Amino acid sequence: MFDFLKPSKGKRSFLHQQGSTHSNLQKKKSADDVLDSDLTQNTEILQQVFSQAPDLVIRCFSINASKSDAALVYLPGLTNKDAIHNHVLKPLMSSSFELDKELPITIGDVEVVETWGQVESAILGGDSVLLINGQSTGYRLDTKGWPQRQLNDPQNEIALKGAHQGFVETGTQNIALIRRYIPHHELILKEMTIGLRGKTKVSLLYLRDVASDDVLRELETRIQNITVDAIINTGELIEFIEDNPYSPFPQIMLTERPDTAVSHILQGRFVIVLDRSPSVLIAPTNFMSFFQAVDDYGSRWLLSSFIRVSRFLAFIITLFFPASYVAFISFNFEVIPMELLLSIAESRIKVPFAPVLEAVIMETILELMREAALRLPTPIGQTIGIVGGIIIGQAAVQVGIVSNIMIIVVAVTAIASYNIPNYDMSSSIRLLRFPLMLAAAMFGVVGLVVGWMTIVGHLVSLESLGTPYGTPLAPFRFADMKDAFLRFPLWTMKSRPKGTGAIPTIRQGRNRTKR
Amino acid sequence: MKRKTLLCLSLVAMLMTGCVDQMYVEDVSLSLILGLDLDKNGHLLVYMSSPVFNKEAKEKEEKVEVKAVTIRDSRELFDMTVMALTSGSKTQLLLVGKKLLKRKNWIDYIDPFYRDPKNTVTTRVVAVDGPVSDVIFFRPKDKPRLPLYLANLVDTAYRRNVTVKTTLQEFHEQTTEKGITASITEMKKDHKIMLTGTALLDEQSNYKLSITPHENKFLRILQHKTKGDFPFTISVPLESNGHDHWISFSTPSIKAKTKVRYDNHFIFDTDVKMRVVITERLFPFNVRSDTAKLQKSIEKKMQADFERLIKKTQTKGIDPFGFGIYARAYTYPEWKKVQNQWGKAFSKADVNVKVHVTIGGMGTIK
Amino acid sequence: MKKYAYNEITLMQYIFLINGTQVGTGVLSLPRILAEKAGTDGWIAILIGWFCSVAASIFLVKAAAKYPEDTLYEILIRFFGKILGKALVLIYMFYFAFYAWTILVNACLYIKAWFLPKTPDYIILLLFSIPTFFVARNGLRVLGRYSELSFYMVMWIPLFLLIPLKDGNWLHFLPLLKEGWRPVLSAVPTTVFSFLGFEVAFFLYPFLQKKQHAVLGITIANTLTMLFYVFVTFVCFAYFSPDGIIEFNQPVLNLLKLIEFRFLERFDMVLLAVYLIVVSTAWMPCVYFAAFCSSQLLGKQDHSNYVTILLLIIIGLVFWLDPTWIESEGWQKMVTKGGLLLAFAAPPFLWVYSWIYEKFRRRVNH
Repeated sequence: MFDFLKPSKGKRSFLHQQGSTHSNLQKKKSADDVLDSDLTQNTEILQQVFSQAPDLVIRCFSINASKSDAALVYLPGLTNKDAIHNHVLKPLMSSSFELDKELPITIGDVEVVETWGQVESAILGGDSVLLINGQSTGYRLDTKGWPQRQLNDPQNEIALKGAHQGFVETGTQNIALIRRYIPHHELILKEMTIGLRGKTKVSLLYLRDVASDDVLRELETRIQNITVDAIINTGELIEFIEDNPYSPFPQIMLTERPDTAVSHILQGRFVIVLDRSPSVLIAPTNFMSFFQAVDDYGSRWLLSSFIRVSRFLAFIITLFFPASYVAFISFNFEVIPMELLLSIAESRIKVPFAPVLEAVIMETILELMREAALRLPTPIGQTIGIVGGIIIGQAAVQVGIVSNIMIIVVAVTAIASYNIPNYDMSSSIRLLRFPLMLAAAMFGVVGLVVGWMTIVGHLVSLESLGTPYGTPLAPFRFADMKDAFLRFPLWTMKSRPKGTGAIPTIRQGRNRTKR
Repeated sequence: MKRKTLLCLSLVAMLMTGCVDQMYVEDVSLSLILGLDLDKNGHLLVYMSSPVFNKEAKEKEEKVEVKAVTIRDSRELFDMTVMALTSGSKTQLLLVGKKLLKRKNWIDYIDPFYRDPKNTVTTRVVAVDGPVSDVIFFRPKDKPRLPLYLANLVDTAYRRNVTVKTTLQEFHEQTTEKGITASITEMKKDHKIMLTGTALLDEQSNYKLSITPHENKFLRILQHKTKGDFPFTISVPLESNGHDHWISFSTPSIKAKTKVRYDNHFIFDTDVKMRVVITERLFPFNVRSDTAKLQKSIEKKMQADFERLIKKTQTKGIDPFGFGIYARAYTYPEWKKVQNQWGKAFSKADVNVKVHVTIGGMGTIK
Repeated sequence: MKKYAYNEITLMQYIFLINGTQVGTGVLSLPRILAEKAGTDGWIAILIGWFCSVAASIFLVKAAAKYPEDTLYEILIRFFGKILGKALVLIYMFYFAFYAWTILVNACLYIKAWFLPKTPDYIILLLFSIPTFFVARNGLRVLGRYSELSFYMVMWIPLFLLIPLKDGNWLHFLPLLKEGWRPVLSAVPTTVFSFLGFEVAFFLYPFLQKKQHAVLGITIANTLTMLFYVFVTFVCFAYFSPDGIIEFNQPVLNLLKLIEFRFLERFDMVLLAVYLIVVSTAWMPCVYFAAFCSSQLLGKQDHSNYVTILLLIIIGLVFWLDPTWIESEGWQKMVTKGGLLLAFAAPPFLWVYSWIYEKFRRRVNH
């Protein structure tokens, strides 16, 4: 509550006003004030500071041997009761020891605290603070133990061959998950705190001897410049740090899979772990990396290459199929072969809407169904499929609201759009198809091509943390192409992707001798 | 900010003025067949057949006949009667009446097909023996829509080389190229529609000669277009007892090679190498032992057929085979002198066709 | 410290920027113009034109290499002083702006003829200017990436030209040099101008990462252009008869019209639309360099406003003038005349001048 005022920032921060609410207190404590040696005084101050927190526990007791008074302060919901009872209170109360010697506390992380600011953040962070009468320092005891989720399969990124542990809501746990993969001293952890009220620990993980310094500096400054109340989830953080917030394309990747995160760290990228958030950020990225999935590296390379190609096909279909339907039907029907044209025209003749309206209506209904299925509880969610399939599909055609061919277009587009492994990328592509449909409705095939030119022009001008977004295509990097449209055999990918600015480019030796 | 207003303004402008070129499929009347003919008084008649999509209509097709000055002019007249906007972008067939084919400069009429980029040039050009109206108003009960039926008829017949298939683009090539004269599909309607072979035109694209499907195969071989099937059924002169010795064979491979020299007149030597597989034989013969004899007699018969066809065309002063292209490529100085009267020069030329037949197989029985 | 470290382009981007600027709408009618002037030997003229443009390019790079860190603006001011130098840059600015104008107008006319006959010109240009603005307002680096990516995206187009090639006739090329060298040489000016666009290398040079490959890069770019032109011309000459090709304004498009698949007909419609990407890599550098010159003239760092202004001027002019095909052809001729000076005459002159200038300065310094 006190210590966020950065001296460098001369701006009048709202903290001052916040501090003023405490002005009615007799003794206003600032963050740098040191603890008193009198225990009663200390507990009084604590009670004042936490007057609006009735769940605060201040357990006063006397230390067995020396008979001196002590108080243990903690918030019960955030702490581990077992640790407090058995490893703090029990040894303190039952064994005898000298006060000036080491305390008989069987807890690993014990730290001396001196200021009120430290005390407060310790208590709020789930630690307990031991204050002893006559001492002007307290002890911060690591008794963290807030409600936690079990490590589960990552729900939103299903992989057949990947690990079954996903990130959870505790930053330290997530870092641990990553550390398990790279137990190496060059894996660097940089911690920063952002958020004025909900202090959030942001940890940057990278390989010091691999990752680029320029990108690191850029990333650090961007994170440090954030001044907000709190960051609830990683998506918010992205919006504050990404290069072009107006772009429809995601420039920083989100993942809830430790294996994905680690593979990117090894390629020379940075992983940002945000405490309390079950997904981590990966930066810098390029367009292609949103089409890669963990499974690609676990399956045989021929198969994964095939799947990669099909994903790019899915990208093209999602973007262009409905739009080219509109363009061909309402402008350039010459292109359609005669037999097909006759059957399209027969199914179109009943439909009262213009092709573009028909397409937009159907695509919107599809999006509505997707959203509905997402928000409904899983058991009910399946009914959406039935309703969509039967009512929207069959009945609408029979009544003559949409044509048969439109149903096919919509269905193919929907399936294709879910083929893109990254949710953010998939939704931004789905969003882009609407302006393309509009362009196609206005200018036919020309509108489509100009739309595509605009998208390409935008893609090449994008940058992710100062690295080009269009690599390895533009600027072209042959070595990086091995992991782009095709997934070459792993042993051929001798160097790290250049697009990340990684310094030692060689990442593996000759792993396969000729046999 | 200024930039954003500009962007918004341009978007609004586009929304207001875009869409003007929209033409929905269902609002278009595709003239799948276009027919050109002359009436008794020598006026141009234009026919059109276009599909009707509406399910309520009993007939699947709209067929219209108008008297017009040009094709483009006819479109206006069509628009006056048919349900939707007429468009020539999918025309499958262009039927030209024989009467019109004999008129001078009739070819000027098809100019819009080449000029308008919206129009297709893969339309099949077909000569109709008799009035075009007979074909276009024909409603066969056992066939699909007429345009589909006719298009398929021409395409499949072309694969067996019953006739040629000349698209408008190829027709343009043949008419502008000085070294070849045009040849187009020929069609006739008696009780039903029949392809009768190929119509040959002269340098002014006027009708000159009709050849049968059998002759058409020789035409194709001499054009060096030896793709597709060439099934022959001929009577070979084995013994001179007057009996017909009918034999049929297919030709898996035909290779033709033409050489040209000039010796006061053009001399063309064409070698045709054929590999044949017997598919039918109506007389007793030991193929295994007397291969050479059979080969010889087939060669003889074929050679005679070739020569007859060439003579026929030479007397009419046309060169549908494209020998002129060879003359230009190899004897340019002489060609240059006669290039504008190639038909005349060709009729004086010697064309020697040599046929080499190899019997590659006799089928599964002896 | 390099001046343009932030905006460096790779060798590939350098190649594709030059190549992209060279290849525009001209190639669509190139075979016809060549056939008119030199018959079927016209393709030889492309080789000669290529040789001339490579020679001019090498002079250009050599001249630019004297002051590797300077743009043309700085070089010209260094050579000719502030006033004359600025006037020369002004000429370059107008040249690029006019070049962009002709390409945009031409592309607009094509789009109007083939796709959107009723949509107003300025709306089509407004449409074009959206991607142009997105790309050209950024630095050269983005422009380079765009050209590069576009090249990869349209690399497959020539493959489709192979389809009509199977119906082509190689005899059209024989005999080589039918009429001797004179007609071929008469076609050389046309082909030389079709290589225009390499003069952007003047501006690209200071941004190039590996300057030692500049000569190689510009040669590759010219060669790529040459190969594309020769290939297209070859296919056209093989398919169309020498007499027929001159009747089509854009024989390449007529050629593409013939490509039909079972699932897609009228492939020229699709290809011409996609070809717009190729054309865009020609006008975008021109728009960029016109804006770049004007921002340098006025001493501003940010050129993006000038892009907007230039595009607005072009749209306004189109709105006012409503250009026709014939006017557009006239403008193209004007551009080629300017190009002769700025691309072919200026580089050797500057190279010689810089040599004299250096010598003169050394003497003064001594």
